[in-house]
Amino acid sequence: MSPERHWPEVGRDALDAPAPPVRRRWLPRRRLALGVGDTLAPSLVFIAIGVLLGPSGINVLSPGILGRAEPLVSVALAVLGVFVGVGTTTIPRAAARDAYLAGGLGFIVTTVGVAGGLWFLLDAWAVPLPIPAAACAAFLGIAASASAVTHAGQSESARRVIRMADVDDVPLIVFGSVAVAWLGGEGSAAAALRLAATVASGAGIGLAGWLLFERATGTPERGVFVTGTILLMAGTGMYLGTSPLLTGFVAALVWVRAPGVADRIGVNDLRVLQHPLLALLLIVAGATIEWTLVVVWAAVATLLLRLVGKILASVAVAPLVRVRPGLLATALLPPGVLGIALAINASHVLGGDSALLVGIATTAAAASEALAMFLPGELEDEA
Amino acid sequence: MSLARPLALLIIFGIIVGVQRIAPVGAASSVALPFGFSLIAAYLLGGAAEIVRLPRLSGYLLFGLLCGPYLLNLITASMARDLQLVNGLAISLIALIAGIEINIERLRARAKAIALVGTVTLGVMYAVIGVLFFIAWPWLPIAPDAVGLQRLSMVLVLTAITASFSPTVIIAVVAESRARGPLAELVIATAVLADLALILVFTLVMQLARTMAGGAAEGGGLLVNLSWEIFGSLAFGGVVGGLFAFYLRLVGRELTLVLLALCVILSQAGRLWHLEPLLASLAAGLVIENIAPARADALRDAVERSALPVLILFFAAAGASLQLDALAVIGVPAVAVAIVRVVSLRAGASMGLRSAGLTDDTSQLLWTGLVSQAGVTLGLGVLVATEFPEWGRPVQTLVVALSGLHVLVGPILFRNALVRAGEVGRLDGPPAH
Repeated sequence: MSPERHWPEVGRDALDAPAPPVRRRWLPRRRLALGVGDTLAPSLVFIAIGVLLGPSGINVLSPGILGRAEPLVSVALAVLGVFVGVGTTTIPRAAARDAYLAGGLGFIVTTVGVAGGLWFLLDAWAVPLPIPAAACAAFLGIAASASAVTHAGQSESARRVIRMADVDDVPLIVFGSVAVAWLGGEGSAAAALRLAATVASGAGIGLAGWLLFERATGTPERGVFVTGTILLMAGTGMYLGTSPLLTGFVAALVWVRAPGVADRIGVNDLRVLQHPLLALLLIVAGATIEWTLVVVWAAVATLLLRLVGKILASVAVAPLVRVRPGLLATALLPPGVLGIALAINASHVLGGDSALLVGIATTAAAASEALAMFLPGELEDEA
Repeated sequence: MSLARPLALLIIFGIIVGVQRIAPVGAASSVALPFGFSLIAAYLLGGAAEIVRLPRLSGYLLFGLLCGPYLLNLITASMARDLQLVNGLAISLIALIAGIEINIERLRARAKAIALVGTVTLGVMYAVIGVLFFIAWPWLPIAPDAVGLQRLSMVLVLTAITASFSPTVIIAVVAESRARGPLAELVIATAVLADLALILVFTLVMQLARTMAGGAAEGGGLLVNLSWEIFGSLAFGGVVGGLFAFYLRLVGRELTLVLLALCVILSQAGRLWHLEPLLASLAAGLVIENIAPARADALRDAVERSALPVLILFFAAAGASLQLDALAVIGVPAVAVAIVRVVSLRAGASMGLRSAGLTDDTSQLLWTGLVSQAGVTLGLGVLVATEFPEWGRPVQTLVVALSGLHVLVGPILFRNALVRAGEVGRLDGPPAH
């Protein structure tokens, strides 16, 4: 039975039908993940709800309840990883080289800028931290590198910027997972082994999903396979002390590269969970923030350094995306949820005082999002 | 036969073994891993069970048993505990499904007969099991030296637990078999009725046991507690069901998620406010079906989507938590008690059906549905062990062993009976009138 007849709602696979190219409307863009219009930064709303309901607010979301949300949070991370994995492989081949170069360069400039600046400041002012200042700075630098590009518009310039923003999520997931594994202790060799196991598990789960999805005999059975697969991605990442983002990302790559429509089935079924899970992730992030002087200070520093980093990155990559650096910087300013997700991932794996990272990353991301709301972001094609 | 599924299963087994070997000591455990593993692997093994004409549920149970802490240990003891998290949700969802599927109009005509069948069945079981326990007490490894009223109180407590049924497993077998018909309705109604009787009888015999142990009697509080547990549960379920019915009518979006949230509310409120989640969820289902029948199809779709994973996890968890060591310790007495229970159940059901005038062949299969025991029985065992550690712990061990035996055999018997009655798969067809 052909996949098209079997699962008509997900359509044909571009790899199976090379011409004409399939219009990728089915792919839910990460920037629209929360299903809310461009005029409002939804992450701000959910973070604010989290702050209000969390221990710093009315304590409805007590630390105990937040702990119980761990499985859902790790599932949300895996789902995000899948969307990033599928999203980055949908870039047209002709535009891929420039997008990858721009995304990679943008990541390096922003991460180095934020991490270097933070390390210098943390060290110079001897800020008391539960983890080494260099590690903290490196981690926050990676978390700050993501761009969501929420209101760039529909022009060709906007598409180029969106492609770049999609690609810069990849190094964030890869290096973020390395950072989490490394911060987990037990030495570099053990961390490398766990990372290798995470990648292998992600590939294995992707393969198992590919074997199961298209051969499901009905929607309920398919739901069991997709849900089970996502839970496995979430669980292996957490058990190995690395990141469900990475397992989800690797599994998605397997789905995309394998023949058939496994990627579409996965994305199609996960779309139902996407909105509530990401909202939950942001609410948990907001509730996890412990308002201390260190958090506020580091968040302000991260915000300013990220702003500088994005401007520098825009200058560096402007020739590749063919957009004026000033406009590009404003488009790249909204950080999205990936940095916050990585910080929550670290706090769940590392435990203890690492919640500080969530506080700083979330506050800085919320401030960046708020700032971006007041800046023009619509990109028009230049004659 | 396609090799895709065995290959996928093999890959997943490999991943679980690998992850357990490599995971750092004291790593952040994640409930997601046993959930994901159980969901896919148990489902695939359930399919294998179907090939040899066993119910899928038995496959899920066997998966839990095989991969659980006592055999392969792929689901470690802590993972098995994590899996239990789904129990409250599963019980609520399963009871909600029963409420939605129970046709009050059809049941009303048979209400008297069902009440008579239930009463006679339980009466015979209590009498036979109780007398045998009292006579055989010195040979049971519980408290052989107990005599007189003290022995009587212990016997009554043990009898009440032994005679209990599992509405959850019954409804789950019906839901998983997509069954609809007189036998399914008769078994569900009898089991729910027996569950109400169990709450009543167990509360009374525990009170007697407390008095025998020299504890303070609760007096008038007993009646209030009972009323709260039964009528409070029904009222709470009715209100929640009514609100959900209005949500169905006015909003009607994200039904799967809202349905799962509803089940969480029903199960958690039960725990917090000492309500019976099974009754509350059943009442909610009945109210939804009667207030918003127009949206019943959308609701059934949502139930169908959410029920399968929850059922799989519930039975995989039950399998993983089967304490094989309890069976090893108390195996012979447990098998003997299980045989006595099934014989008395069959005799009681037969007498009850005859006295109610239900002499058709299908109704004679009633006993097969009532063999299963699971969550409620185990929960009562825990209560006894907590309150009376000296003799309650051996009682709990016996109850665990009994439940293990019954939950393995019960679904197989019931599913076969549903097949014989021609009721399997009828839920997918037009409603029976």
